[in-house]
Amino acid sequence: MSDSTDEELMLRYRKGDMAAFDMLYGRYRGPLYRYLERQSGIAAVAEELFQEVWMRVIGGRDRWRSEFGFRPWLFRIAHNRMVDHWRAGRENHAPLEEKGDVLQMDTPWPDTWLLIRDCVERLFRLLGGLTEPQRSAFLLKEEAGLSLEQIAAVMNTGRETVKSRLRYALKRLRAGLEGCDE
Amino acid sequence: MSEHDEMPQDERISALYRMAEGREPPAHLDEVIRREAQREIRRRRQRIIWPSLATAAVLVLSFTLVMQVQDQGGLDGMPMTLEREPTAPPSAPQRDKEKTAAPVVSEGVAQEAVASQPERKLEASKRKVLSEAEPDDSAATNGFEFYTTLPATESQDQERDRNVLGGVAERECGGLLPGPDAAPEGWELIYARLQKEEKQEQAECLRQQFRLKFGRDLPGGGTQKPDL
Repeated sequence: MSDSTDEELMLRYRKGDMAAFDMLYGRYRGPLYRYLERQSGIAAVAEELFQEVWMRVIGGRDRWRSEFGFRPWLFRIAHNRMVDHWRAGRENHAPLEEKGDVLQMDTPWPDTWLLIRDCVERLFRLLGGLTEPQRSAFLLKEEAGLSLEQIAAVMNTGRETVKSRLRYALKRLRAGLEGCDE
Repeated sequence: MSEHDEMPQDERISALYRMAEGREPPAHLDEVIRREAQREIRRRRQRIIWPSLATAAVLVLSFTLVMQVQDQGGLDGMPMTLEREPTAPPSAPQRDKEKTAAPVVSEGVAQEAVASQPERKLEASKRKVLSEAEPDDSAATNGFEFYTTLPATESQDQERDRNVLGGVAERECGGLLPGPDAAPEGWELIYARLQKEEKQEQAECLRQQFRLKFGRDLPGGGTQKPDL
């Protein structure tokens, strides 16, 4: 079953296969949660939206069309929930700030590790400073691994618009990450 | 140009992004979501199962009902053997008696009884034997009621025979039995006419019914041979 595509798993869950759901959930629980947390900047909001998104996936499984793909569908729901959250003003959107949690690295050079941690912190601070569309495009690319077309479909915009947003986002990030090149 | 060529990309930024700790949702959320997913599966099964069960139940009930109606219709569909000529409605006490002495045997059984000639002969002989019994004064005004006044210790078979014979008598009389309130003179007129028309069987039937009803022979019927 581990070789099954997302779409096959979703179709099996639709027919009542709970193991297929577990597999699908295992694949996307991390990326989806991180997408929401890095978009909202607040863990409690991310948890609430995370649960809402999965409830919609479960409740809407009969409306899902396999030709759209599972991953774009999942992140489209997440993106729409995020936009609803911002529009409703349920929480003041706090600038995204990563707490500096960086993967522990087996490196004999503490200076390198400190530099990397500093760069990661800067990256997430910079992400929080991006406009919401730019940050969404960046996170959908990096966290969800979507293509240009898929990001455009999720954000309900054009492919060229997505490209433009990504270029601007990367330009701003590069500018803020000077010294992290080594 | 491929998709990857077109996608704005910065490998160093992507690598830096992936170095951040991969945060995970709390375990209690996993539990809540899994439970909901499972519940939805059960709901769906119930949505599938209950209509199927309901349909099956309706089918079984319908089939049972159809079978019962067919059974009923089978009896109703048989030709009526005890059809009577339109007569005056029975008096209230008579109706009450008829209700309390509801025939045990259906009309279909009566039909069977008269269906074949040998059976008819047998039943005619039974009728003759029974007609020897003197009816009670307080008893009935027709053959049916006479039979119902016999001792209650008789078996159901005997009771059925009585009803059958009553039905046969009425049938053989050709529906010419006078109404329950008819005076003996009316019986005499019908009897005379039957004899004149040489309808001996019906005349004999009428004579027997008269004797059951009034406890004596019809005037002019004395020339008939005794029953035994």
